[in-house]
Amino acid sequence: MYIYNEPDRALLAQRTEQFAGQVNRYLAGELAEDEFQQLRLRNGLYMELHAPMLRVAIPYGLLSSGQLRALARVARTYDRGYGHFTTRQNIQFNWPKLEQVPQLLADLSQVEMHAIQTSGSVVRNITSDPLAGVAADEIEDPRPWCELLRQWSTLHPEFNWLPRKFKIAVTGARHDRAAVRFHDIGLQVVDEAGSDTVFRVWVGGGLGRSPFMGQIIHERLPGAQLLNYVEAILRIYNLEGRRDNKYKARIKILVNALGIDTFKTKVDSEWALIQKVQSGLSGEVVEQMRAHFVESRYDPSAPGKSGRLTFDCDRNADFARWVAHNTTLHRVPGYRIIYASLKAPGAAPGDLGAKGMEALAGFAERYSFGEIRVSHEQNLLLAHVRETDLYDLWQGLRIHRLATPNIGTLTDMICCPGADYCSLAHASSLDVSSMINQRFDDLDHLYDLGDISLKMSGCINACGHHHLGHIGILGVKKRDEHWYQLTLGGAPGNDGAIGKRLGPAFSADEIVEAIERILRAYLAWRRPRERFIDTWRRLGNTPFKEAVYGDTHHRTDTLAA
Amino acid sequence: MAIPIIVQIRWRPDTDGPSSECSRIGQAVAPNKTWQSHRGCSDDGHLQLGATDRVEDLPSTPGTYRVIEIDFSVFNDGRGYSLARQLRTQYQYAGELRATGDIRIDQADMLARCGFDTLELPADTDMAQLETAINAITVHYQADVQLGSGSVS
Repeated sequence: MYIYNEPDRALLAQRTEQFAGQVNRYLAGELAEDEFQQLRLRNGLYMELHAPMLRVAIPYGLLSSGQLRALARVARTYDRGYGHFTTRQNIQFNWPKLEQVPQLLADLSQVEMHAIQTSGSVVRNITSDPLAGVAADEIEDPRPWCELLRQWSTLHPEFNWLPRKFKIAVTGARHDRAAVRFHDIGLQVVDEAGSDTVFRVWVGGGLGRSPFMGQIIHERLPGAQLLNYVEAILRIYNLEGRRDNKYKARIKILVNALGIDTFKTKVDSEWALIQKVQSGLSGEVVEQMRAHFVESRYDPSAPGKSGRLTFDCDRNADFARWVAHNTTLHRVPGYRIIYASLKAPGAAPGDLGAKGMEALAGFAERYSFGEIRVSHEQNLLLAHVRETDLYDLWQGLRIHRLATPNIGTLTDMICCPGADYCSLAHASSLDVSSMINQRFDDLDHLYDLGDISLKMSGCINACGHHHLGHIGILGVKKRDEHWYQLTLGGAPGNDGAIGKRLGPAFSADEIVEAIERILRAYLAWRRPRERFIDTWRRLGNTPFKEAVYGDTHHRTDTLAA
Repeated sequence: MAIPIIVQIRWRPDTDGPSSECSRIGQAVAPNKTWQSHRGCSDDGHLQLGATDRVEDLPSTPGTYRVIEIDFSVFNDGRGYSLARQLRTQYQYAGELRATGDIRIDQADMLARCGFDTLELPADTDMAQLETAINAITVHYQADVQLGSGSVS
């Protein structure tokens, strides 16, 4: 992974001290409320229902064991002993005290971590494929490009006051696991053997109040021009994005108002001017960055011992089930990628306690080169585990309730913290996720339902990416009660689509029953081996609507989306 | 209301690291603003621009102006930063570039890095705090990643 050099450390130390000064000036009454709000947001600090919430950046979801241990210490020292991993590969702490945040950040800076630009109208954490560097379908490791973008966008003087937040995702694989079509800018390495890196560039994707799929703005962008081109897009957005209404301020609104062709023309002419004064990335810079991500510690004798895994699976059905659901093939024979599920029954999705963090940090050191990854689905991955170590690792994970074999199933749901913690949320999401877990606690039933993604957001800001769930749940509020709207048919990847609303919202008492009706209908209608999403694509919303609401349509009250 | 002060930001000449060309010190040179700004070019070569103005629509080439002012109606509207970068890098504007309106001392550093060399600030601005703010961050990634980008000097 990327190792900080002296300038990296100096910058982080300066930024940590700068923010501490801003907090102190605010506490001393020397900084106006409106200004401090903007300054603290640019450093990941929200003022939430019960306490501040601090979002710590995990660049493209990559952590070292030492960093995960430091997060555990933060959870213990400044929080209530846990953290919440987010869909953007970051971690949030819900209970720090404002006065203690500068020290918390100083502690984190010792392990090269920070909260820079994890909120506010700036370029946010660059996200990527959790399987970067290890996936069998990878064209090129996207992480060097992520790190180049991270550095370039960190404290960029021109883009610190954008109309709204700006999210960039990068994938280097054939199958998009980074939802690049649903970001402000999405970058996908194009498969062209023998040539230098070329990106397909998507712009204007996003969820929230008005979900849009991104559009292609450049089919073949040379990697050397990546930063110049992103700069051109950001400059046009900074100058022309709407600032009169925060719900119309994302770049997706600008792109759709102008049309992709007009927007592209503007970007291209700005790009041409930029190229006159700025050369692109040199091959040397890119090569130096790539060197940080080359993994050379694989044991060449590992493939020869693969028989051990079959033997272990044969002697233990629980282990075999875990291997089938929570591990996936590595590009290096004899190794596996394993998922530590943060979706154990009763657990809040994405939450992990300090003990669990420390245990995983230890497992990573013992079995996976001391490296941990955070996935968009809010699970943690150990990406380089020898097949011969799987049985021992599984036993260790089980002790810490990190081995629930439910990856990719209904109960591997994505969920934001919801109204229990977030001042933006309209509805509680954790109660619903816990009810779903109770209702669908039978593993065989879960496996029978197969690949299915359930994503839930407590409000229209869509932190839980409900639009991209095969089944999406959106929390809404009416008459001071929590209600839940369902969407069906969303997907984040190559077959990306925005889910379609099924009908009127459900009360908290009704929502789980509604999901059960949908699933019963699917089981009745599916063709052999047909996934839920494919059945839905074949049949559309209408039959599912009838299955859920019946013929009576007794519910007349509807909600504005 | 007290007359705003004009603060000039000088670029520190010494080098103490790979990005030291971006270090500056703050210095007040003109405590009294004596001319009345208005939109368009005044007799003494001043041009005032707002956030909605575009560099490509200027009545004359930027080089004909002695001072170009960019006004910030509200501090979290960042359009002026892009206008400044365009003027300095694409139009090679070499005259005085002044930020006016609602600007805060914590923004002085990034304003300077985008090419502003003078700031119009409230008369009661704490110069010590301003200097601290301007000198808070002296290491810049933009120069590390891509030489020349971000370091407008």
